[in-house]
Amino acid sequence: MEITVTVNGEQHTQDVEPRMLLVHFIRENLNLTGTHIGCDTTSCGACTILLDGKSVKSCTILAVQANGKSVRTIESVAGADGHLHPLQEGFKENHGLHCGFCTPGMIMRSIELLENNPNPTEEEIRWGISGNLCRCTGYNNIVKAIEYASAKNRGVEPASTEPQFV
Amino acid sequence: MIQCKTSKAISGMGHSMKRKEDIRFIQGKGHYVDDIKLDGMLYMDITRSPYAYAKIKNIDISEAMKVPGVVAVITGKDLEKYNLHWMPTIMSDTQMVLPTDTVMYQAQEVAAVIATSRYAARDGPKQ
Repeated sequence: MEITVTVNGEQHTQDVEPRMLLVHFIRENLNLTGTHIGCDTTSCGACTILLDGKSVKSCTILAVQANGKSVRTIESVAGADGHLHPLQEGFKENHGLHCGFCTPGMIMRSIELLENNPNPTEEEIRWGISGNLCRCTGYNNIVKAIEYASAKNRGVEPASTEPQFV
Repeated sequence: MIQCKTSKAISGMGHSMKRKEDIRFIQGKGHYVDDIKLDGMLYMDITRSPYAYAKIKNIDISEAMKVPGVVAVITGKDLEKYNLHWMPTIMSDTQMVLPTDTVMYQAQEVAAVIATSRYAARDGPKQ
């Protein structure tokens, strides 16, 4: 079936099998390997992307369902000149990643989270990213990274990222 | 409050050092194993046994080979020719790779289908 999807601003028209998953379409047909496949059970969220602005797990969406829609992946988040999005800066400054596998999914999810709730409490953040699993960090620094980005977006000074010695 | 007397440029000790690899990962530019693409790469999927303990009389691969894109189907008999049907493991014992005459547990791997696309590889086991 021929589908037309706008991915990161670029329109792509390709012929795909009806059973092809959106995540395979993005990773293999379009060569955007930033989106990762971490499970086979829709549990981990490493494949999270934005479909028409809503964060979805692309492993559970068929490519044909994205026909005529717009998709945003991690590759679109940094500015064209390499300028980092506040979320990316937050992850970097707050040690929000170890191996980095879950990070693209976390960032895409957080983009929608902060759009819907620009000033979330810690609990709202933890519930908000509950669809994204991380094996490495223990989530605390991810939460801090999202709080950092939320502060930056609101023009407020984010919490210090220097280690706090007692 | 602990004061670090040596400057960051000299020792780094007591100072927070940012990681170098983060910048690639947060932009989705990591090269994880599944991201690597080489020429001639093929995909594999596995046919599994529905029976818990059964004697393998014959594995007919002709239907699977007809699926477009399927390059090969490997069974225990194929591995036996190269003496690869039992292989040493990291625990210094040997383990069965594919069964040659008896299936030992339900869902044990019986044949591996190699194909040019992951979807063709999935079609092979269905045959």
